[in-house]
Amino acid sequence: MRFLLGYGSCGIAAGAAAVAEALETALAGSGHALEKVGCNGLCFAEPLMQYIDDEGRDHYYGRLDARSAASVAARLLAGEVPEENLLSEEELSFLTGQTRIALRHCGLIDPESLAAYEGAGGYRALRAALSGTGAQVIEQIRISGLRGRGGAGFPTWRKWQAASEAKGEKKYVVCNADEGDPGAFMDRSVLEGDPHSVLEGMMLCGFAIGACEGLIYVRAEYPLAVRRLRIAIEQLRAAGLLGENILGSGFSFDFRMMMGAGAFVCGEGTALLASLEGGRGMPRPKPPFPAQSGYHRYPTNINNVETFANVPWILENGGAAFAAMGTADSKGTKVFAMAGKVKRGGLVEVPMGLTLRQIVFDICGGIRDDRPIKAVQIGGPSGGCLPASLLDTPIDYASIGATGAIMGSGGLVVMDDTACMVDMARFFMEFTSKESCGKCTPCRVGTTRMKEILDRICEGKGEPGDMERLQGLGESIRDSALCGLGNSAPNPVLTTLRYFPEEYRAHIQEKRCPALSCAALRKYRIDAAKCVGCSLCSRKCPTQAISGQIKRTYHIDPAKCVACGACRKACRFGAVELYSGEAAQ
Amino acid sequence: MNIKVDGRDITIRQGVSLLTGLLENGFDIPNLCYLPELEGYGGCGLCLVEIQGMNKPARACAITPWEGMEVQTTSERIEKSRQVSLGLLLSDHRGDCRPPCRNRCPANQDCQGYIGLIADGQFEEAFRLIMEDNPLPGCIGRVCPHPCEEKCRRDLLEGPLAIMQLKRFAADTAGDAFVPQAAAPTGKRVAVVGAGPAGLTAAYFLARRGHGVEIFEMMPAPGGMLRYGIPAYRLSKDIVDKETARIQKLGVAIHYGRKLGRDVQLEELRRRFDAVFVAVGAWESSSLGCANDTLSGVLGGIDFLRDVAEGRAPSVGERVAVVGGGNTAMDAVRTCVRLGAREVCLIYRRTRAEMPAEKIEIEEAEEEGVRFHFLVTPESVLEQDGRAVGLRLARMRLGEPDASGRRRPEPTGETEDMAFDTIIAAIGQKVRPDGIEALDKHRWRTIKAAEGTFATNLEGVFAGGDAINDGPGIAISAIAHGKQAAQAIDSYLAGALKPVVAPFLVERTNVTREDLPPVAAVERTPVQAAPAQARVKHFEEYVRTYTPEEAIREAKRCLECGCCDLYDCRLLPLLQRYDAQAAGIQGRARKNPPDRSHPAIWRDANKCVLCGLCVRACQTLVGKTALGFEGRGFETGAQPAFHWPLMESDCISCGYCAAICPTGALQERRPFEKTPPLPLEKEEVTCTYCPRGCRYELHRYGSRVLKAVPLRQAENCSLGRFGPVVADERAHRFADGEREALRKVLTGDLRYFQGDAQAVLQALSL
Repeated sequence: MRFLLGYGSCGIAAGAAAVAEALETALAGSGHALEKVGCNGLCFAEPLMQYIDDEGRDHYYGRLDARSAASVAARLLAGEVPEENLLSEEELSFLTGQTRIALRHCGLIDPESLAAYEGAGGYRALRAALSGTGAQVIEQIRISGLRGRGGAGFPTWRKWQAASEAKGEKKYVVCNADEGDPGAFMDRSVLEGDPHSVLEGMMLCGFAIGACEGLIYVRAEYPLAVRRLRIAIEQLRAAGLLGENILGSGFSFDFRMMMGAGAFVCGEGTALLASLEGGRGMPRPKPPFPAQSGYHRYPTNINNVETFANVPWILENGGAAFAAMGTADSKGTKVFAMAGKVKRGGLVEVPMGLTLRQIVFDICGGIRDDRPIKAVQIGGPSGGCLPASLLDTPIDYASIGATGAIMGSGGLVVMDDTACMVDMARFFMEFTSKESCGKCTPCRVGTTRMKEILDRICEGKGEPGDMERLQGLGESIRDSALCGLGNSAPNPVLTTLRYFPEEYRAHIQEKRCPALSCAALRKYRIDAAKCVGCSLCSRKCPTQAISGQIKRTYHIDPAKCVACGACRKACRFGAVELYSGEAAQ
Repeated sequence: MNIKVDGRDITIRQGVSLLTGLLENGFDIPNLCYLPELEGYGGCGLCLVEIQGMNKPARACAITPWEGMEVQTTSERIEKSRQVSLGLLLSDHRGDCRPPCRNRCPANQDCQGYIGLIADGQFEEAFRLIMEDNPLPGCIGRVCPHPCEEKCRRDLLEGPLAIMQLKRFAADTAGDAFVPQAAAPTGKRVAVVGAGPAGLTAAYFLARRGHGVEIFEMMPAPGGMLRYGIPAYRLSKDIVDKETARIQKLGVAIHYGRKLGRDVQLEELRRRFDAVFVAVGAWESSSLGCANDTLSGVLGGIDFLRDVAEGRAPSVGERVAVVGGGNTAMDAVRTCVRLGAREVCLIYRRTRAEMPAEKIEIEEAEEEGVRFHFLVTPESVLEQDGRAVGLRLARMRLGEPDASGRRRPEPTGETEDMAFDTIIAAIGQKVRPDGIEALDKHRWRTIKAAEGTFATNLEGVFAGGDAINDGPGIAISAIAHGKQAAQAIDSYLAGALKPVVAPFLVERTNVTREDLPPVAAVERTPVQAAPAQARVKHFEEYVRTYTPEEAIREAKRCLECGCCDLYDCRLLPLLQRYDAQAAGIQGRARKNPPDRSHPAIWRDANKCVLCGLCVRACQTLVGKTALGFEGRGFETGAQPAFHWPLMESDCISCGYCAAICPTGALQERRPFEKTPPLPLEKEEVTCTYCPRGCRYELHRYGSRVLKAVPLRQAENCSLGRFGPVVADERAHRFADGEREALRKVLTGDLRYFQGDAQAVLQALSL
C-alpha cells in the first residue's frame, strides 16, 4: 500500500502543501508514509494522489483539498476504495494513452532520494557504460536515432561525435534547462520529478565525449528544480559517483549549476554559453559550433533536459528499443505540454508519429465545452499555428516542418473558435520582440515593427498592404536574423497568414474580428426581442453607456461603451449580444 | 588560401574572416558592425553571402574561410534582406543628415558649414565653403529672401539665425585672392546666354569642371536683374563686379552688348559650341491690364528700375503710384522716394498680410514715408492731354481663398480717383521671345526645360533661371538652376546626360522646442542700418555688414541641427544605394536626450544602429568599459553605466569610439565652438608626440587641421587623437611672441601638456 502525492511546483501551486499535511495526519500511525513525488503530468486534476494497493493496482484521486484528502485517506486505510475524487476511466485515458520514457519516473519516485532512483534502475546504465568506451555510448545513441528535444531536432549522436572528435584541453557538457517558452513546462517537471535521470544522461554524455564537467544552466524561476538538482548532485558526490576517477573507471566528472536571469534568448545555445561565461546573453554567429568552440572556447556539447533524460533509458534498453518507436526520421517519444482549451491539460509523452488529433481528442479529451477546435499553436513563440484541417498531421520533425511550424520544445496550445488568430500572432510577436537580445537588426527592429503592424490590425487600424508587409518582413527576418530566436520569431505570423488569411482581411478591410476577441473591434448591443427592461445592465455599466426605461428595451451608446462586457455578464436573459464589424449592425 | 568568389578564383590571407578577405580583394560588401581588429559580430546582417552547401545566406564577417569554398556575393534574397534590414534601421534612425536650412535653400548651400566656420573664427574657410555652392555670395548675402531662415530651428527659441547676414559677412571679409581651382581643360566649349545669376553660376561651375565658357550678354555690364532690377541701395554694383571678376579669373569670357536674336543667333551658338545654356531672364514688365495703360506716364516696374540703374532715371514728378505688392513694387516705391518724389503710394488689391514682399522691405518702405493703399485696384488710368494724370481705383474686399491660399479680392463696386504724375506697374515680368523662337515654350511664354537636366527641345541647348518653366523666381533659385544645369551639361559633354536628382536624406519632422538641445537664450544679433531720413537721400547701401565680433556672436547661436558626421556616415550611402524604405513600418522611436557633456565626444543615441563597435572596441581594444549594452528588445542601447554621462564612466577620452561609429551616434567634437561637417582632405602622417611613431590620418579643411584619426586602434591615445587639432588651433590663435610654445607643441614636447592626457582635455574644453 503506497500513497504518492504530486509535489512539483504545479501541485504545490494547486494546493498540495495543505493536502500533504492532511494526508500525513491521516496516515500517522498507520505504518504508511506519504511519498512526495514529482508531477505525473495530470495537471488538470491536481492536487493529485496516486494510491497503489497491495495488488499493485493504481487509483488516482484528483482535485483534492485538505478535507477530501483526509477523508479519502481514512477510508483507504479502512480498506474501502472511495469513489469520491477518484478519476474516471475516461479521465485516466490521458495517462494510459501515453508512452513514457523521459517522464518514466516522474510521479513515481521520490525525486530527493538517490536510493529511490537507483531502486528504479538508475545509474545502472552509467555503471555499465563506464566499463566500456565512449564510442560505444555514442553508437547506441546513433542507433536510437535520438534527436535534440530542445526544438531544432539535430541528431544527438552527431553533436556528441563532433564534440568527442574536437580537440581541446578540456571539454564540457552543458544542460540547457532554460525552458522559456510561454506555456512549456516539460523540463521543469523532469527536473523536479526525476533530476537524477538528467544528471545520469549528462554523465553518460561526458563520458562519451571526454568532458570533465557538466554545467547546468537553469532558470532562477525554477527554485524547486534548482533545489532538487542541488540535492541530487550532493547525493551523487556523497555516494562517490562524482569527482576524480569515478568507480575506478578513470573517468572524472563534476557538476556546476548556474542560474539564468530569465532572458528567453539564453535558451539559444550560443547566448546560453555567453551567459554561462558571465557575459551578456547574446548569441553569436555559427559556425563555429559549440562542439568546436563552446564554453570558454573549449569543445562543448549542449543538449536540453528532455534529451538527457532519454539517454539513460536508451543505454539501459539499447538504442534499438528506442528506435523501434516513432517514425522513419523521428524516433522515440516526445513530451508535450498541453495547454489551452483542451479538457485535460498537462504533460503528454507519446511516440513520434501520433497525429495532433490523437493527442488533442484521444488523450486530452477534446475541446472544453465541446466547442469546435480552431487551431493548435505548436512549438511556442518559435513555432507555428496549424488549422484544424491539419490535425491529422503526424507529429514528427519532417511533417511538422512541412506545415511551416516547427516541433519546438513541446508546447502545444489548443484554441477553440473564440481565439483570434491575429491576436494570437500578436501575442507571440510581442513576446519575441521584448525578448530579442537587441544584437541584430532584423530581430531587434523587425519583430517590433511586425508587432506594431499587428497591434494596429487588432485595433482596427490596419492599412492596405499590411499583410504583404508582414509577409515580407517575416520572410526577411526568418532568412537574416542571427540566431534561432530571430529566425523562428516570425513563424506564428507567417503560419497564421498562410492558414487564416481571411481573418487578417476581416480585420484590415472590414475592421471586424471574426472571433469577437479583439477588444477594439468588439461591440455590444441589446437584442430588443430578448430585453425585458430590467435595467440590471444599465446599473452594472461602469461608463453609464446604457440607458432606457424600466420595462422598455435598453440601448447601449457605442460612443460611451468601452466593451468591458459587464452588461453581458449581468444580463439574465441573454439579451446582450457581442458583435464585430459594421456589417453586423 | 584559395576560394572562388562570383566564379572568380581569389586568394585570401590565412587567419582572416571571409569578409576581411573579400574586402581586401576589392569586393564591395556592405557592412556596419565590422572592424578587422574585432571578432565577427553578426549584428547588422548586411554582409550576407551565399556559400555553396549552406541553405541560408551566411554572415561573411563570422565565417572562417576554408580552402576551395565557393561564395556568391549577391543574390536576390541577399539584396532583399539588405534592403529590409536597412529599412528597419531607417525606421529607427532619428536625426537630420543635413540641417533644415540647407535642405530649404534652393541651392542647398551649406549654411551650417560656413556658419560653424565663422563661429570658429575661420572666415576664409567659410568663404571657401560658400563658393562650393554659390559664386555670388556677396549679392545673395544682400538680396536673398532667405527661405533658409524660415526653417531655422532657433526660431523655436528667440528667432532664426541671420543666415543671410552671415553669408554677406563671409563674402565681404574674404580677400580677392581666392579663386577656386579649375579642373584640367576638357577642350569642350559652352556658350552661356545672359550674365545674370543663372548664367554666371553656370559659367562658374562649368569653368571649374574644365570647360571653356563664353557668356553673351545684351547689357553693357554683368549681373542681370541683380544689377538692373535690384536698386543700388540694396546691392551695390561693386559687389556684382567683384564677384563677376572672380568668375572671369577662371577663364570665363563675357561678351557685352550681344543680344540673342539681334547680335547673335541660337543656331550659330549651337554650331560654334558643344552646348548652349540659355539664361535670358524675364525682362518684360506686365502691363496694368486696364484702360489707358499704355499712356505716357505709365511705366513698367522692371523698365523703370533698369533705367534708374543705367543712370537714366526718368523724372517721376511729385506724386507716384506703384501698383503691386511684391519685392519689385517695394524696390520701385523706395527708388521713387530716393528720386525725390514728394508722395509715393503703393496700390495693392489685397491687404498687408497678403503682400508677397518681404516683411523688412514693407517696414522699411513705410519708415521711408511710402503710403500704402490696400484693397484697391486700377480700373483705368485717368488721362489729360494724352498723358496719365491719375488712377481710377476700384475698391475691393477679400473673399474666399484662391488656389494660392490667399483670400481672393473681389470688387465692391465703389471707386475712387487719385491724381498721380507717374504710375508704375510692378505686377509681374514676362520672358521676351527674342532669339528663342526655336525653343518649345509654355503657354505663359517661358521655355520648357526638363526637370533635373534643364534640357530644351533642341539637342545641346539647356535653359535655366527666370526664363524657364514657372518663370521668375528668387535669385538663389536662378543660382541653383545654374549650378544644377552645369552638372547636367557636364554629364552631357561627357557623353551621357544625367539628371540632377535630390539625394535621399534622413530628416526629422515636427521638431518642437523640447527636441532642441538645451542652450542659453541669445537674441538674434541686430543689423545696423542707417535711419530712414538719412538713407533716402542717396542710393548707397544703408545696411552695414556684421563686424567680426557680431558675426561670431551670431554664428555661435547655430544649433548644429545637421549631423556632424554627414561626410563620414556609413549608413547614409547604404540607405541610398539600397533604396531603403521605412514607409508602413514607422513605429515608435527610441527617444534619448543627446549627451553633450563630454568635451570631445557627443552622444546621440537616437542615431545609434546598435552595431556595437563602440562597446566592443572599448572593452576589447581599449580595455575600458565606458559603454556597454543595456536593456532588451527594441530598447536595447549602448550606454554608459546607469545612463550616467559619458564623462562619469571610465572613459579615457581616446575618442576611438567616435572614429569607428558608422553613424553620428558618437560624434567627435573639435576644440572649437562648432564642429560642422566638412568635406575634409586627408593626409597620412606620423605622430610626433612620443617615440612610438604611430601612423595617423590628419583631416584638413583649408589651412586648418580639424581631425586626427589613428590608422590602427592600438595606436590610439587622446594625445595623438586631439593634440594636433588643439596645436593647430593654437597655431592660428597665438600671437607671434608665443610661437615658441607652439613650436614645442608641434614638435611633440610633452611638457607642454605636462605629458598627460588631462591637459589635452582641458585644452579641449576651452
